[in-house]
Amino acid sequence: MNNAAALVLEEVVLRHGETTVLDGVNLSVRRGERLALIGPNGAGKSSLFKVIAGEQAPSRGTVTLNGQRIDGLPMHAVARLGLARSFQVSQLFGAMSVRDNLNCAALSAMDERRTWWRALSGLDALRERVDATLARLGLSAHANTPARALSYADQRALELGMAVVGDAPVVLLDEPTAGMGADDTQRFTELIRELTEGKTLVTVEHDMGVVMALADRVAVLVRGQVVALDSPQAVRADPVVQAAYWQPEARA
Amino acid sequence: MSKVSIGWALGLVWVAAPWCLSSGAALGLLAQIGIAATVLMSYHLLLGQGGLLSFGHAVYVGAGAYAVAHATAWGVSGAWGVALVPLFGGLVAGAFALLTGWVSTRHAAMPFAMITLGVGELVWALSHMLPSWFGGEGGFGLDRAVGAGDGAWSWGPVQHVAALVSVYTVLCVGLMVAWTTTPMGRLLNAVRDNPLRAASVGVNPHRIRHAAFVVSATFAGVAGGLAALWFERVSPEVFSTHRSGAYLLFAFIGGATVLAGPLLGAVLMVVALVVGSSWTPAWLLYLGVLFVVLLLVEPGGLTGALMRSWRLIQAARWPRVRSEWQSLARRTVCGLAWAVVIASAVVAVEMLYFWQLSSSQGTLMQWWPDQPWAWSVDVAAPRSWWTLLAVAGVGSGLSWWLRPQREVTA
Repeated sequence: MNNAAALVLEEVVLRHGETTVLDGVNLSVRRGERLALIGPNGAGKSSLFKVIAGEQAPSRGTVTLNGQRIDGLPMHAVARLGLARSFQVSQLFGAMSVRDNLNCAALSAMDERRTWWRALSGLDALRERVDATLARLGLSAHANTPARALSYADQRALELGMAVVGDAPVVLLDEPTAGMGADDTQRFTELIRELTEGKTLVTVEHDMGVVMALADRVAVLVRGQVVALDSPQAVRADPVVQAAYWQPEARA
Repeated sequence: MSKVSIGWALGLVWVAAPWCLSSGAALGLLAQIGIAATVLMSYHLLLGQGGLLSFGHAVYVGAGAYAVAHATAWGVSGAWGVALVPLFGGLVAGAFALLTGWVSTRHAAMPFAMITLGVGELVWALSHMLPSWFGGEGGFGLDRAVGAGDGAWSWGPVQHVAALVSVYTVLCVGLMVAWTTTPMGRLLNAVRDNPLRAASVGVNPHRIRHAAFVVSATFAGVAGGLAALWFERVSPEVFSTHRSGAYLLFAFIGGATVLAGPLLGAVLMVVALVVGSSWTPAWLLYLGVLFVVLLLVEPGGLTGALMRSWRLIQAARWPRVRSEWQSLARRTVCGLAWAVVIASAVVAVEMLYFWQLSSSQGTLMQWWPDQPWAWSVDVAAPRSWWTLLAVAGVGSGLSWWLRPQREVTA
């Protein structure tokens, strides 16, 4: 079973002092699958991402990426094993140009991280890849704009671009459409679909429209536990999920 | 003209300069500016490119200086020996940074700054505790010309060493600028801007900072070695905290965010240290005020201020309508009023200093006594102070009344 699994979490527990944030999470994501992670605020979705990406080590349990244990590894080591990630609040290199943001996001994947003897501008393969990503994000015209000067929607696009430009096989997206209007959300969902084609995708999402459009399966996280894991339609119909999730979120 | 060609032109001029100058004083300024430029550019790699605020950069300059001093004492000589010995200084400083940087670059910001301060104090204390190695309070001298007297390059004449320093300066500054354009240099910027994101794209922030720290220290060590050859003396003073402070101060005054900043900073540093002290006893005060003012109004330092003024001049156009003339006149008068305020402050400071020393030189302060524009003032007379106060008051009132009305920008 593990051969086909890109990402496996077994009995993952995360505690902050007395508080148990993740309480024995079991989850297996198949290669090429698109999994949406939903759950009420404070359910532990972002913490789960942090544990998978290596930003926090789990208190107990194991995380396996393509058959390799990654729990306890530092973030950069996890990234080098082929896991890319976007953040709920955009994390950009603010003073640097859009192009350089993507350059830096791609350098490690292209094994040019330690290159100190030739100019960045001389790396043709890198430039081609970044140009292609810029075009798909619709940011070609802003290539030389400092990242912090971009509009909110463009910053979100760049945030997504930085997660995909390295061509990692597993991509985690933390609320990629957060703070967007309905039109932007729909356009952006299409973009995510296009840019993560063929990759394993795990995304935290609040917008059920996006979940339905994007996900093959939905995992529902409530109080640090996975309470349901099924197709979007089935999860929506599940009475346990409705009780735990839809009611408190009715305002949304 | 592109930035690269300006760089090449500047480099060529700098290498040729020692051959066009004959006065010892001019060669001395040139060499010291070259050494300072190398040190400040190496500091810029940390502060500007990496966002790493070091309070102990003098440690690596000093390590290079002592390595070179000891190497010449051990018998490194000959035309090539002396020409290459600064590289040994760089190696020693770099090796030391490999050690200390492993600890200090684990974190950026406050922990980094504190550790560099600690290492600086440690090395300074150590240099006083081991007089056999560091030569005690007075340090020790070295003779760069030993055994090299046979060929054309004896390193005895000042011009020879000035030429050597120039070549090293251009090479070192050029290499450091080039390094900032490499993938590693760009990743250093990335780690500066957002270490969390850098780690999430597979970059180890600690490693990148550490590498930059070693590169910076290596060039600082080369500069230290050049200084040892130039002055033919080293003393524990090279490790002192106020040397480190001076590097920080002038890197910032020159401009921490632009590559030209350290070069301008180097010129200012040498001019201030060599010439400033002979102009006025209050030069440290002016320097401090300039530093604070720049911190508040222009994070790009003097280079940033110059670039901003240049853009303003380029954007300006000849006034056409009456309101434009009025606005120009208003701004000009406001600028002059500011100049009057600043000048009064300077005169007040100078008068105070003069008054302090009045027991030995009287109370009549004279400026430019032999010139047609000679000017004197009695610093003990209340009338002088009232007049000064009135002038400053009129100046500040005018500048406040005519202050530019602008929108608040974020």
